[in-house]
Amino acid sequence: MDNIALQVLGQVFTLQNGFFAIASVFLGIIIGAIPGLTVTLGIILFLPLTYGMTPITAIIALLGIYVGGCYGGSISAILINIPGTNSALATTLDGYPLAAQGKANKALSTSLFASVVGGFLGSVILLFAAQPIATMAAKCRSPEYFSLAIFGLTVIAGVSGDSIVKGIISACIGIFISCIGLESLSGTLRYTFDSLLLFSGISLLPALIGLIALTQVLLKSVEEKRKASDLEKVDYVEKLKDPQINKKEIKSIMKTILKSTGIATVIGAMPGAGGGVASFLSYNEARRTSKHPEEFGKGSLEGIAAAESSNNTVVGSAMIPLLTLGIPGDGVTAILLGAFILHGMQPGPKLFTDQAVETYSIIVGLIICNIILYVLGRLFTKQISKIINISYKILGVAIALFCFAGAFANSGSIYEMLLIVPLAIVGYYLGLLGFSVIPMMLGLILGPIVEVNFTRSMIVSFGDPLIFFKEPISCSILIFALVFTILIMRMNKKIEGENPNSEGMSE
Amino acid sequence: MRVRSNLVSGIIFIVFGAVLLLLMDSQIIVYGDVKFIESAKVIPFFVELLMIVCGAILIIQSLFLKKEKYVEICWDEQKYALTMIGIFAVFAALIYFTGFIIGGIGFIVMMALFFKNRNLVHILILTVMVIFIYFLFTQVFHISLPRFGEVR
Repeated sequence: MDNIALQVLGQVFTLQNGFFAIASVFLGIIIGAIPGLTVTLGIILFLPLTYGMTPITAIIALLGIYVGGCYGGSISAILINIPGTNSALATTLDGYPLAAQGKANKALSTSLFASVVGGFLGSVILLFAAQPIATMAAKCRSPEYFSLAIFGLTVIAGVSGDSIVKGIISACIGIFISCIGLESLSGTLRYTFDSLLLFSGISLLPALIGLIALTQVLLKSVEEKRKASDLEKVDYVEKLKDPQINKKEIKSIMKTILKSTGIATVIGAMPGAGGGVASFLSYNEARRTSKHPEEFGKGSLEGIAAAESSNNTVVGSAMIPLLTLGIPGDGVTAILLGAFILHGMQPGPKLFTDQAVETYSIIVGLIICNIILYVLGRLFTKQISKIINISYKILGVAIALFCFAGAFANSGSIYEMLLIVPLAIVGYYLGLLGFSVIPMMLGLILGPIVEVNFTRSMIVSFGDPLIFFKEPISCSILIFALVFTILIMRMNKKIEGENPNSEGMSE
Repeated sequence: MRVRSNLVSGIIFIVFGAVLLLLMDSQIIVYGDVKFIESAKVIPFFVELLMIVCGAILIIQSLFLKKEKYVEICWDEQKYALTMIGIFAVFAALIYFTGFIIGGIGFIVMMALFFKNRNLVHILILTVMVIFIYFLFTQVFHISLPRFGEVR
């Protein structure tokens, strides 16, 4: 164990890791702060740039964007009442009223402190909780892996928007796309229409870029074109002259932060819930148990602390099912699952035995990203606040440039770059009909895992499909999947009922 | 134009699923004596079947349960969307024939025309960004991007 600890320290504390961790957290804060840019989008756009990096550096850099983005979302939530990310929606409830009282700096410093403490504790919990779960999960064989992948697909319940049926169709499209090309176990060609270009299938990265990033550019550009006038311009920096949060106030919100961290750890580890659900549940709990519930909605520091600590805790806790079981906790971790696979790491119980040093290095890197967040937040929040109103006329073009460059960079093939245009058309028109592309993305990533383990299970059981119910662990996982689906749907319904603006909170 | 999204989606996915199912035998050829449940056909089969079932549920929701979501499709918006798609296609073709930098500059000009953006500073910033992205990929991260005269 000591040997692993030393190796981990040697792997994490390198100049390259330090540079990319700082750069990615900074980039994450900017991405989170600008309404219209999401953490998912940021990670997809940054993913092609990580190809030349080691897996540890690459994943730490992507996690840096996630960590920075979760805090960044609160900047626009507090200053202009528009959450930069979906998980910062609850922050607007008290952040903006406090800013309107001339205490924007206090609101932002509370958000930063709560984000860092929540994120740090979430990462530490991940560090200690992951190994025992992975050890338990190490007994899994192909039927259990199949059931786990099905469990991962329960995320659909939380990210389907207004219709779970449409979410299931969307996931089916994703799984179908993942089936195109050469099948990995038997080498059978599928739906290639005799085109050589389709023999190797549709790669994950161009698919993600086309279906999510370029679709978003298309949607936002059309919206921008239709918009009659720009948002009212305000000198936000003028708002940041009040004092920051003091020691007495920190003491008063600590209990709320710790409680919210606890709630978010449990919620974040559940597939499908995500930061949005965690922040609303923590916010509601903080209001219920507060000595001053009347201040909530009018600029309560406890309200900001509850929302922000919980959405940053989720970064760590959503990694628990991802690293130990190979199932993503939300949309962002689904992309991270894709990133792990692209970098030759297969999340799941074996990760802690086969690639223990890399895995622990990534977890320690996540802890460090939270410390970096505090420093960068203190130094640059004021400067970043200046760019949150950047015109989409610039932003959209810049994102599209990255999309095309990233798609080409995946394999150096013009064909993959051209492919993102039809995929964006599919994404746009499905979005118009009320389909979320996140389940499609989950289908794309989890589809091959479902298929390989299903086929292996069928081979070892001589074609008995009941094997998934005959094996006790597999059966328990499937029952859990069903219970979680119902639970997440109910939780989403309840939160949407209480907060009508919260639709589709899990990114 | 108001579109019944559940009804339209239901019809689209029943047709899509059915077409894929019909194409399955010609598009997935399994050699040897392999049981269907162990073959490369099984997952696509279930996925396509699920699409048809879900499509049917959407139609039932729309016609019988009166659970419908109407989507407003306005022609102006569609015109903009189709123009944007056209711009993306031209950009991809430009990259193919002229490389990333020239293609990128062409894209910026097309987008400026699309947004009727005459702000030269914006265009300049974006031009610098194209060059920055090119050098970031090729020089910093050593990932190649198409160059002028390099048709692949």
